[in-house]
Formats: sequence, structure tokens, C-alpha cells
Amino acid sequence: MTDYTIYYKERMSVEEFESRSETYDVSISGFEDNERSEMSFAKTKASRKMRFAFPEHGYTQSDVPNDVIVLDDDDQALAVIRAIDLAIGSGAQTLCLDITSILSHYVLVFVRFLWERGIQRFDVVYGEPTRYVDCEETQFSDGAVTDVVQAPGFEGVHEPFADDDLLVVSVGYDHALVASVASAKDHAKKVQIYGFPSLRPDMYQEGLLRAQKAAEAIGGKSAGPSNIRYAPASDPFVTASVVSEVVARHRKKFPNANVYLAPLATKAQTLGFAIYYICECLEGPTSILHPTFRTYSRTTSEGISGFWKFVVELPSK
Amino acid sequence: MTDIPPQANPFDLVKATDLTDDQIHGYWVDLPGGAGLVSRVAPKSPMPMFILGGKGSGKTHLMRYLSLPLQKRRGYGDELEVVRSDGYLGVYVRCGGLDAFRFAGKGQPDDTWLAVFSYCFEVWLARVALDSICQLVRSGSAKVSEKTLVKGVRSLFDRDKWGGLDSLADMSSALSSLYRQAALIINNASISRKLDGLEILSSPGRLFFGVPRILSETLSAMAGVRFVYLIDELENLTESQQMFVNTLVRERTDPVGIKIGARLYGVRTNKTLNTGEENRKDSEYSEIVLDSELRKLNAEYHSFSKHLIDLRLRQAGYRIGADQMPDFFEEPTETERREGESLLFKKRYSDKERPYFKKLKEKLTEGIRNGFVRGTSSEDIDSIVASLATPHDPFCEKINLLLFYRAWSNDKDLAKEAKAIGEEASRFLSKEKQTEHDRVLEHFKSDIWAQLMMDTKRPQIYLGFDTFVEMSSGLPRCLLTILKHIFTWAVFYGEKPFLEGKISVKSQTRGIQQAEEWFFSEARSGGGDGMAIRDAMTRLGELLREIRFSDKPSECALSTFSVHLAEMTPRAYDVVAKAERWSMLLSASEGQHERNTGRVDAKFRVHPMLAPRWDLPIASRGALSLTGREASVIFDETMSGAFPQLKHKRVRRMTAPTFGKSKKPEESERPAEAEPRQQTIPGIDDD
Repeated sequence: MTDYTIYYKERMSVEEFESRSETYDVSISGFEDNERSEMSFAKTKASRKMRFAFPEHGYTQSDVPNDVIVLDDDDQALAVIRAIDLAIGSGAQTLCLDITSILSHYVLVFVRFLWERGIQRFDVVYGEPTRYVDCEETQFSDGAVTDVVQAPGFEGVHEPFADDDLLVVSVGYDHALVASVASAKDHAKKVQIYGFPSLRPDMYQEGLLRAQKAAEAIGGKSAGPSNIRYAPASDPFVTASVVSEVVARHRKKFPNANVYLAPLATKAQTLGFAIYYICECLEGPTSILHPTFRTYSRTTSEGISGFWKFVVELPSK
Repeated sequence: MTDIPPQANPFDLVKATDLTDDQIHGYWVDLPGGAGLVSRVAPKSPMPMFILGGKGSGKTHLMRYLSLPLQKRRGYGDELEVVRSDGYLGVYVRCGGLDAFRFAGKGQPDDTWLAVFSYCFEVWLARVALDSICQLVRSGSAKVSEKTLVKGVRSLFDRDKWGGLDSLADMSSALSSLYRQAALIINNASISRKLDGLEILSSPGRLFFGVPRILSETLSAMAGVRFVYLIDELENLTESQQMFVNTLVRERTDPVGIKIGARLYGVRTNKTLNTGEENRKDSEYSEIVLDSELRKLNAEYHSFSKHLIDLRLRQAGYRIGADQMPDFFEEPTETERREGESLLFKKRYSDKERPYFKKLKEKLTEGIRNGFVRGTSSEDIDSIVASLATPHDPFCEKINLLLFYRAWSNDKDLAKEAKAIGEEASRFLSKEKQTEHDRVLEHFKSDIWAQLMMDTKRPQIYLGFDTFVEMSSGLPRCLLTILKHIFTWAVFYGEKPFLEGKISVKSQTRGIQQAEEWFFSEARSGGGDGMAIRDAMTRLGELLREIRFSDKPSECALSTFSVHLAEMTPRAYDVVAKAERWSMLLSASEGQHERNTGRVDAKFRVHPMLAPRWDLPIASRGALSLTGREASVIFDETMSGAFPQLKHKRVRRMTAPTFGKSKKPEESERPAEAEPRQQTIPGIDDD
């Protein structure tokens, strides 16, 4: 197991973030129609700043500011490849990935494809929300899960008829996603990771209320407290360590088990899953899954309470 | 404080995928007599079969039960002896294990992916088949050379890449490596956008049919034994991938048998890869819809359910007996209920008006003011109410009111009618003879109770083991889920379910609410149409509920509707079909005779698991006849804006004081627009 907790992270207030002198060669951000997205993009300093609107938000070019590039590719991987090519262009020494407004499943793919392009070290910035617009009733997706698929670049080589599969889910607000992933891997043992401490104090209870709605899909075998773990909602490195420990423990008993990972909670935790996968899971029987859906809400949060900066250092290819 | 040790929930494991082989065997219950599921699936039969069913219908349990590990578990002798005795060898696989969605995109055309998928599917199946064959060959009674078998399997490949392979284990490893190499190239194509290095080494169908054939030819003891692929979770394959599987079905040859398990909504196509050809039911394949079959065999399903639950309880250490099951649930008799209502009303309404009489007075006042009441003035209101009152029996009062509202809608003299109803009520209460009240109760009893609960703001109750079996409607998992939640609540409330006393009404009610919520939320993950189906069902449920709780409901025990499907919009038709495939609606095979034309319309019923959501009855009797347009407003989201108006129009015909009439009684005439005529119930007036 790798100890990911040695990786560098820093929390800053909005003012501290703004007053940083650090300037990157290039920054990549997502676009959402809210204050948090605007603020994180504006306050990240880079010589070349790119931001992208993702297909699930349903923006057209006329909906967005001129500098936003609307990605309308059906193929998620292709969209990210195109974004990275546009951003990196003729080379960049320092890069910042601002995940504040990048949808979670794209966060995974960005990290993976940046690494494929030889970028092992980059900063990730995340602007934390003050609150979600409707608390535990906040709708993130339109609820219409169409499929549960492997994230591009995170597809494992699975043993098709193993009996002791494991599904590790980081449980977020959107219980429909949790239920859909759990149902897709009906037969697997489930371990749930709750974000604790949560981003904000009230969000833990709100998340629990939502997670209860997915309880039936999680199933009897996996419902007990022994199958629940905790990792800070805002810490990708502790998350990576927790996931690593859970999987290692399972593999000790069942060496050939298929493992499925589903980061459905915060983006910081999703980043942790991606880091863990690249460090420990490539070409093995482990996949990262995510549900696909038609549209994703453009406004899910209010305010910005501060920024996190994570220094991601991945192994050489 | 007494220390009560916590009771483990014997119904915690509701999914067959959660069960070990021992549990699959231990929890197996078949239908009694000749209706047995194993015999209906007929594993020895050459005819391919689709085993369909809603979620929780028992497909996986059944298919795993037919597989080799379970054959061995229940048979006598070694694997070969068991298989020869059974006449088949069952090889179980789950399509979910293929992660079939990765065979798409990545810059490759669809036909390339189809070829790659087909190859990988067969290599994957061949590996599973070989593992089963290994078990056979190594059983004591098998006399066969592994080398001969290996040679035969190798010959199925167009090009042989391997060196020396001496044993089936070596061959199995070789297939694993082949699959793994292909998987790596497929996975990396996300990034590389290429499939370079992936070689397809075998023609379509060669492995699928060849491996069993070689076994049959090489091991003489297997001659005449069917090699059955039990392919579960077909819904995890895309349409084109299912076309490949359909092609295998169409091209089936001995000794292969094929049984395919899928959710009702999971079969995307019957087309094959042979241009323009489609597999037809009862020609290329047969089909069994498990929950539908179980529903048809009502008595057998009830017996099956009792044994299923009894088995679960026995495994958990309880000693009850299947026939004693209903005794453990509190279920007041009719008499007890009526006495209970009497006490409750005496207590709650001792110094205030009963809610339904308060409502009646308001409606009479409004009706008199606007000229919708015949032969009655404001001074008569109190005496009308007094005539209809039977204070010691609120249930009787509700029957009185139903009869009164009916008379009102027929423009009768209300003061006279109230008096007559009051006199009839006396005869009813003294059980003199068959009264109009008795006739009403024959049809509307559950509705009267429901209205009484609604009027007094109490939750509807669905009680008793038999009710839960009815609610599950052929889906055993639903029954297990209901009992799981009820058990949890009972323990929470300090009861000792199945140990001491009866499980309370409160625990049953809470458990039912949770089980219903689970069932309804299942549709949300139903692809892009999940939300449309839920919204449509909500509209339908609301309409049925409003009718049920109206002053003069047109139908009794209403949870069914009929419609001429051809008159619906295509989108509405599609949503109805999907709602049925998602088990939200159940289709009634007998249809509904439309009164005016004699045409037989399609009839659908809200799944009983959803009845509590909209306070509907479990047992369905009447059917709401809908026009094509009305059904489209309900089921087609583009027309749903008209739903409030539709609901209002339908329900106002059953609502005092107007009952849908826009003119005073002496000036009234039938509305010009043709309205669907409800089929009448004997003794009850037309709508």
C-alpha cells in the first residue's frame, strides 16, 4: 500500500488564494453558470487560461462567454483529449487543473490523460462551496441514469466469473447514482466511503439522509457497519489511502477478485480515486465506474468558502 | 430495563446474487405439483428459452439452481454421474461480468466492435465451459484423455498460437491469456484510439458450439447429455450485442441448449445478424415470464410463498410452519375493526362534528344555494344528517353517505332519500335481510374503509401475510423486501416477531411504506425513460386516488384502467409498454369489453406494490375506461399539461354538489361530448 498522506495539500481562504504569486504556464477549468465557477477561474493565475463547458450541461456556444470552449463530443475521452491538446499546445512546464467546475467523471479522465501525455506533476485547485442550493434535496443530475460504464482509461482486465467482487463507493448526495452503480454490480460486496469530515458541517447529515435512499440497492450483505469507511470529503490523499487499504484487505482474502471503484461523492475524493488507480491498479482487475445521464444541473451550489490546492505527483510511465 | 437481545433479520438477503451456492440450494422452493419451474424451463429441451421477469422474480435463483455446482449439490455421485442422471450440464454466466459497454466508441466503427465483442464473448464463454468440463473430467467416473479434448478445442481456432498444451487447465489458462490480451488492447483504445494487435482467431459460433460438441464426441458418457449455457443478465448487452446472441439462438445445434435470463425490459431486439431475419417466439425460441406465470397460478404461488418464508425462518432458527405464517401478523377482523372505529370516533368526535358530515353539510349548503339540490332547503340539512347518522357505527355512516351521494347525483329528493337510507341502515345493522347496504359492501367494502381512514387523516393499512403475497404479485423478492422492512420495524418497536405475539399494525404499515418506496424508486434508474415512467405513473395514481375518494366513485376497488391502444399517441403507447416492462403496470390478458362498440380494449393494472403510494386497493375489481386522448395526457409527457383539467373533469362527475352538471337539475341534459361508459357493477347505477 502506498501512503498518499505525504502528498502536499493546502487550504486557503479566498483572499489568500487571490494573493498568491504563483502563476502557471497553463490552467484548465470547467465552466458552470455560477459564482463559484467564475471566481475560481478568475483567481487562478496562468499565462494561458482555458475553460471548457461539458456536454452534460447542454450549453451551446451562444450560452457561454466567448472564451469558453463548448465540448460537444459524444465520446468523453475524445472531449478530454481535445481539451488537453488545446490547452497544452506547444508545451507547458507548469499546469493547474481547476476541478471546481469540471464534472467528476471528467476529473478522472483529465488526470489519466494528462499522465498519459507525460505530465506527472501538476496542481489541482478546488473551490469549496458554502452550501448546496437545496441542502440534502439538491438535484445534481436529472436523475435519468442511462447506463453505468467504465471511465475511459480506468478499465480493468476482469475475471469474468469471479465470485468475490468488490465495489467501493464513495457515497455522495445523488442517491440515484449510488443506487444505479450498486444495482449494476448487484453481486459484488459493497464498501461505502462516507465523506467525514464533510466539506461543511451540515453536509455529513445531508449526505447520510440521501445515502439511506440508496440502502436497498446496497444490499443485505453490505449493509453492516463493517462495510462503512470514512475519508475526509476534501482530502484526495487520505481518500486514496483509505481506498488502497480497503482493496488490499479484500485482495488478501480474495486475490483474484474483481474490484470496481465508484467515486460518487466530492471531486476531491474523485481525484483521490484517480490517483490511487494510476499508482496501483493499471492493467489489473480494477475499474472505475460512473453512471451516465442525460443532463446535469448547472447550479448546484452557492458561494465559495475557500480553496484547496493539491499537488499531484504521479509515478513515471 | 429488560435486556432483549437483538434479533437478526432473517429476510436481510433478498437478492439471489447475495446468496452462496449453499444458500441457493437451501432457499430453493419450487411450485407444487406439475407446475414446477424447473420442469417448465426444461433444461434438457433443445428449444432455446428466454427466462424473463421483473426484478426479483427469481430468474437468477432459478438459473443458478440449474447450474453444475447446484446439480452436484443436490445429486448423488460425482459430477459426471449427476450430469448423466439429470440429462444436462448447466454452465451459468452473467453478462454483467463482460462490462459490455466498453465495446463501443474509442474511434472504432460499430461493425469492428461487433466482431470484437462476438469473439471476446465466445472466448469468455469457452473459458467458463472448460472449467465445468474440467470438473467433469476429473470426477472419478470419467474416462477420457484430456489431451484429446485439448486438441479438439485447439482445432476450433483458425490459427493456433500456442505451444504445448497438455491439460485442460493449460487450455483454460491459454484462453484466459487470450481474453486478457484482447481486454488490454480494448481498454487502451480509449487512449490510443486503435485496436492494433488484436487478432480474431476464431470464426463466430465455432467456440460456442464447438466446445460442447467436442466434449460430447470425446467423452462417450456425455453422449445424449445436453450442454446448456445459462446466460443471465442479457439486459447488460447493447442491442447489436444481443443480435449476436440471437444469432447463436437461431443457429443452435446439438448438443447445445441455451437459456437466457433477462429483465422484462432487457430484451432490446429479436433481430439477428442475418440480414432482415428476426427470431420468433415459439419458432426459434420459447419464453417464460416468471412473475406472470406465478401470478396466473394464484393458489400455487400462495403456497410457494408460505414455504419460501417458512424456509427462511427455519434457516434462521425459527420454528413456525408454513400454514401458521398468517397467524403472526395482527389483522383485526371486520367486527373488531368496526368496534375499534366506534371507540375511536366516540373519543375523537365526542364534541365535534364528524368530518364527513361536516363536508356533507358544506356541500348541501352550496348545492342548495346554486340550485343543484331537489326538494330540499337549508332547514332540511340537519334532519338529513340526522337520518344518515348511526353514531355507534361510523362504517355504516359511510355506506349511508355513499348511497346518499348516489341518490343526489340521480337528482332524487334528498330529504326523502335520507330518511329511506336511515331506515335501510337500521335493517342492515340488525341484519334483517339482504339490504342495499349489503349490496354496496359486496363491491365497495375496501373503498368504504379507505375513505373512513382518509376522512380521519389516518394512513391506509395493508395488513396480513396474504395481503403481502398479493402485493408481491409474482415477485418473490418483493415479498422478502416487505417482510424485511416489517421485521426491522417490529424489532425497533420492541416486538418479538415470529417469537412472541403478533407483529403490530404499526410495524406492518411502516414496513409497507418503505417497501413501496423501494419498488417505485427502482424505475428511476431505468434509463432515460425512468423519470417519464415515474411521472406518468404518478399522474395515473393521482387520478385513480381522486376517483376512489370521491363522493360517488364510479368504480369499486379501482386500480385498473382500460384503453384502446391504437388511439394513444406513439409516445404514450411507448411509455405504457415500458411501464409494463418495468413492472409498474401489469397487463390483464383478458382485456376489457368496451360497451359501446364491443371492442376489446387493453387493460392494465397498477402493480399492487405501488398501491400504498396512492392509497389504492390491493385487489382490483373495477376498471377506469379511458379514451385514447385521456390516456395520452397521462402517459405522454408532451401532453401532460392537460392533466389537471382531465383530472378535474373526470372527478367532478363523482363530486357533490354538481356531479359534473353545469345546469340546474330541472334544466340538465347529458353533455354533448361522448364519454367512455363504465361497465356497471350489478346493482349499482350507471356512472
